Amino acid sequence: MSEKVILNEHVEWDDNIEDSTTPDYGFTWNTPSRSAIAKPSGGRPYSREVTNEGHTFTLSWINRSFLCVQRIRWFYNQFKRGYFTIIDHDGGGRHCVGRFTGNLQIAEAGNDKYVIQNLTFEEIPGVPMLVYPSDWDRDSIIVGPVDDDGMLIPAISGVWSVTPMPAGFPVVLTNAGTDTSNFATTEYCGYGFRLYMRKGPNQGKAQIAIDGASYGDPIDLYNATDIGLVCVLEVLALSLDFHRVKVSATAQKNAASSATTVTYGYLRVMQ
Amino acid sequence: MILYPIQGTRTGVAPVCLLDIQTVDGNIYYVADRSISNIPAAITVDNEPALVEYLPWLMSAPTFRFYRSTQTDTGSILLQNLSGNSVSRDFERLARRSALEGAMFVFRWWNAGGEFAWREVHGTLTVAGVPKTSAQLNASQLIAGSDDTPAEIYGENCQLVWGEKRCGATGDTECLYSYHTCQVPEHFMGVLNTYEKNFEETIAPVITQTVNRRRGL
Repeated sequence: MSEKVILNEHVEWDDNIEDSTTPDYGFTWNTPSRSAIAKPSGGRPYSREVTNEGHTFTLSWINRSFLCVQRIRWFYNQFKRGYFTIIDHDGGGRHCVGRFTGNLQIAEAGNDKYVIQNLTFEEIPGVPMLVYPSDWDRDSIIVGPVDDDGMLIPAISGVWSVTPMPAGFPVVLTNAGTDTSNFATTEYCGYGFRLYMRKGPNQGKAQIAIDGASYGDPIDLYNATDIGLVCVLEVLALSLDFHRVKVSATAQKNAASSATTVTYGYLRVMQ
Repeated sequence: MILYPIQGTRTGVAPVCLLDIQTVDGNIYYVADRSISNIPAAITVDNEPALVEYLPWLMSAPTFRFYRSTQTDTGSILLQNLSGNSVSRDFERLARRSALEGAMFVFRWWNAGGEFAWREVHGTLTVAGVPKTSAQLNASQLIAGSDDTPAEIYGENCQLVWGEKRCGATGDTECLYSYHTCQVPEHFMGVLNTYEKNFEETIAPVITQTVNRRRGL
């Protein structure tokens, strides 16, 4: 049993249960707070993501067939310890992997119809998904190189100077790219990410590592003209969890590039 | 000296809690319960006056107990433990780079309006605990009763650590910290209470030659 078992693969009528397993109303996508907050008596509050809890939904099936509520009851019982996939068909078809929690209460509504109300579905972090979230416009957030108070977000090794960009994102981290021990590592809690780095005539090559493991060959950041920050890498297949994205200098460059500079822009993180 | 207004309402700028910390290896940190800068530091690298910036790390005003006796004055300080980059926390890096155990501190209730400290506490710190969002430090006064404890104990066991410089042993086998197993007896740091018991019984000298004391010469 796993993410391959789908509660509501489609919204259409299912002859087997004489109904549809898709719940009434939309998915609420309730988001638990993953942050711990500490506020000095006279200072600004500090916060940090410390847990990786997923979304929760309160779902209802109103006036459904007996076979339909029995199917839901089976999912409730079968996946007490495991997880399955539920699809938000009305919200763009996004998948969610988790299980039912709380009490399952089936009430008779008359006319041989039954009601399930306020059944909680809880997303499980760290498990694979059939389809990973990919709505970058609505579901992703920007994790920049510095926070709103000017504090560095990545952990760095070596000299990464905070420099303004001529246009676009306000600041970037620039490294000479000559020392292969230099890196900038950003940790976030979420799903996949997009990495934005500067491409230009003096940019070198950068090696990416995800969660400590090298990811592919070094990325060539050379471009004949300076085109600023562009998406140089998209990694979609990451489960909800804490992830570390490490950008390392390689002291390598394209033959046409004039330098090995590495410029870290920001991450777009799927939430 | 505490200044009180002669007339009018007794009000003013709220005091600021300033904490200067110098770790055993010399690193100095300045924290307060609010962000405040251009404050004369109580601890500086070269003991020269300096205006420094205090980071807002103190979650609240610390609590101190003053006994006015030989009982050790103690305090409790709570720092925030969330700031830092996305990978590691500031306090984690601070504690890793130089342990806070035994760090010296100077705490001041600072009158920012009058630019003077109306209460100042000196002492040493120890880490009492690091919960999820904060770090609890315990403070004790500089001259505490426990400081009277001698570094070495009067006893028959050697008080030196085998192989250290004062010991001088260079072998591969650790001694048993007794005089008999000491490898550098001239450095033995203990009381010799093993008495020599195997002396032979004293034999009284027996005259073997007869002396006639009455004989005239």
